[in-house]
Amino acid sequence: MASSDEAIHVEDLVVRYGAKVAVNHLSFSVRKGTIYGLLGPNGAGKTSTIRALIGLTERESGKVLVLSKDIDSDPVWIKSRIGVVPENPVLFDSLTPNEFLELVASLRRLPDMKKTKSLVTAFEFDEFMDTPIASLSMGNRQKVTVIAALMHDPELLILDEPFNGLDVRSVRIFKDLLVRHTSSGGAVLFSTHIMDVAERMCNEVGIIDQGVKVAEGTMNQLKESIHGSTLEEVFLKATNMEKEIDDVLKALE
Amino acid sequence: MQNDDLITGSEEQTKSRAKLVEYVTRELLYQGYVASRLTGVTPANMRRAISSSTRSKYFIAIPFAFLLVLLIAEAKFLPLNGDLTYPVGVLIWTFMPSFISVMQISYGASAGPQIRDTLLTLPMDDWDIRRIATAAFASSLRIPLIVSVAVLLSAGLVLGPWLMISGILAAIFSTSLALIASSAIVRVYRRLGTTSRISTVVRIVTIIPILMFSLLLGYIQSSKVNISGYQATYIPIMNLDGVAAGHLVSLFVALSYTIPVALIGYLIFRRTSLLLLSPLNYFSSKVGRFRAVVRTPTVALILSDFRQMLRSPRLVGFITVPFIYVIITIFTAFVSGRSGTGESPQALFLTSILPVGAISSFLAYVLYLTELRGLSYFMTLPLGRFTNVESKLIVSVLFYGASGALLSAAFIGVTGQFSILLPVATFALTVSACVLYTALYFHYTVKSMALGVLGFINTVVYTIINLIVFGLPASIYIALMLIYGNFVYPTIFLAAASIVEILILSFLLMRAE
Repeated sequence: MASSDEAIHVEDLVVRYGAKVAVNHLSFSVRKGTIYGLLGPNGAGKTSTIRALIGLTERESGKVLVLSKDIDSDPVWIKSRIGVVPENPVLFDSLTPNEFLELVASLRRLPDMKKTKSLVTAFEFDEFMDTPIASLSMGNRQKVTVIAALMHDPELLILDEPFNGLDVRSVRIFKDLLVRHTSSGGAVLFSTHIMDVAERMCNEVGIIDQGVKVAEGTMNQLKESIHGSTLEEVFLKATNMEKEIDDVLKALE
Repeated sequence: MQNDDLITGSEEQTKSRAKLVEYVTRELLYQGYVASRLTGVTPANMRRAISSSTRSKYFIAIPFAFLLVLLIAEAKFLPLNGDLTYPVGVLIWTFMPSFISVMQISYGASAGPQIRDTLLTLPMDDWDIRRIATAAFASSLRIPLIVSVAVLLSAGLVLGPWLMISGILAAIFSTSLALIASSAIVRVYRRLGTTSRISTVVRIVTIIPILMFSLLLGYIQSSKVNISGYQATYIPIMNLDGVAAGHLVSLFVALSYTIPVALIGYLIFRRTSLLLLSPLNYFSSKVGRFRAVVRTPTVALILSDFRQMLRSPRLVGFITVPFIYVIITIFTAFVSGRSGTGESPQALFLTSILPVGAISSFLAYVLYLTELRGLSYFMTLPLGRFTNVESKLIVSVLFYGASGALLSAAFIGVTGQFSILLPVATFALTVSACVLYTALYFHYTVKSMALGVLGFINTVVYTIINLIVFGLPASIYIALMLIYGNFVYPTIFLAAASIVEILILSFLLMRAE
């Protein structure tokens, strides 16, 4: 049952690509004012879950509420209140960041570009504003999507590997902005492979493997129930990878 | 023993080179096809993407081969313009498939990962890499070339050896020119890959003469050229008439310019092939600074469409075609108007406004296709269902309006008949109906997409239906124009048919889930 303090409520979500079940009866929720980490090995179904949340992938069954609304019932209302950083964002390559951010801001009907300008300055991005996106490095492309996701002060941030390619300074700024965002009541759902970051930042973590949730809880709950001293250990145990890794390492000796 | 090893080593090397060429060719086909990725996600089924890409080459080759067959039939049964019709026809219809194929592959290769950089990491010298890149590019173009050559050789059975030889010489000449022309465009785009307005204008201006060339050849073909013996022997292209008639001197002269052009074409293509394998980079024309402003969503989308149109080689090629029509029609209208032997305004209308309208009706498709590259991000934005359709409508109608206005001005200048404005303006409704159909098509295509790319059959179905949406009101108009001989009644029916289409398509679009 969805409650009003939930920014995301997922119940029994199933996503299927032909015969392959990418997400298998997944349920979780992200409370307002918290950061929820969605973790899992490659191909576990994290990106499919995120895409189903924002309506990019059709779900076979299950209930998905974003800011208490079904994504199919009012997608424009929901999309105007969320910020998204997709994994490997493919943007309009021939536009410059100036033109791209102008397009995003206009579609979001922002009153002005003050916030965007301060984000551009914060990420030291001014000098690239007239460089076409096709010519930007991966890290600079990521900065464009991060700025575009934050420019409208969204209630909910959905981030798929958000720190990909970012330099240390930008990661630090972005992490601080995320903490500030949650302390003012905003919610964050993010998927990452970097366990240290997830351990330090997430209030709650869900681990999925082959589309199925294998563990969920706060950091302390997970460490207690799965008997791991770090999130990395917890992750490897929950996804049954510890033994597999030992075998692989032995074979390499 | 040592010799055996050397032979085996050399064979192995040749085999591995051939394998590498095959891999690069497959990668080129794959990248060419997924350059317009729908979801931003790399398609999982590579084999399907490659086979779709190969089928699309047949889609280019077969219509042109069919035109060559028609030319052979014409040369055999209706020799209207002496022996020149056939070789000049071959010149045109072999130019286009090679040109289109190189542009298509270069677009894909430029948008793909850095194949060149991967090749550079392998233990091979520069010369080897260059050879592999050229071979892979040539291999990716083989379908249109093989189909054309097969048709031209079989022409020998129908037309006799001399006409066949003239056709083959024309094909070698035009294919080489196509390679030079497409290489020139690729190089210009790379050299002037900046966002400045001057670079944009230069890029467009470079494409115009190349497209003009192919259209002008059409005029040579359709005009009644009297060829003297001197021309038949010594003037390039014109002397193919002499070759067709079996003059040996004409053949030697034709070989003397065809062979160097073919060599130049090959060398330029070889140099460009390596360049094509690295991504196309645009550079900033000025020092960056923040100057984005908030606009209304529709205006922002229109601006973004225009910006992408002017920076993409594929789109610039597309949008310059109507303007070339305009230039040629204005020229024809004035020349025929002055000579007093010109065509009627109705005929001029049919040969110029209709093609311009038909081309404009496909603009929304190309715009949507360009948008697909950033679609996965675009779909996360709060975009109302009709805002994007609205912007595509405005851009297409503006595009049609600009070329239509120039054509109308030329007509009015020659004929003094203002009534032409009526059908020209009304055709904007037909173009709008096509935009609505395109929006509907993309709505369902995006929704049902599993592979992440547009399927071949899907594209063919779109093309046919779009031609029907445009062709239905257009054919009503043409039929009534032939009956009434003026613009008024046909225009009323044209408007009525287009409005009915708009209403039906708007209804379907509103109900689309």
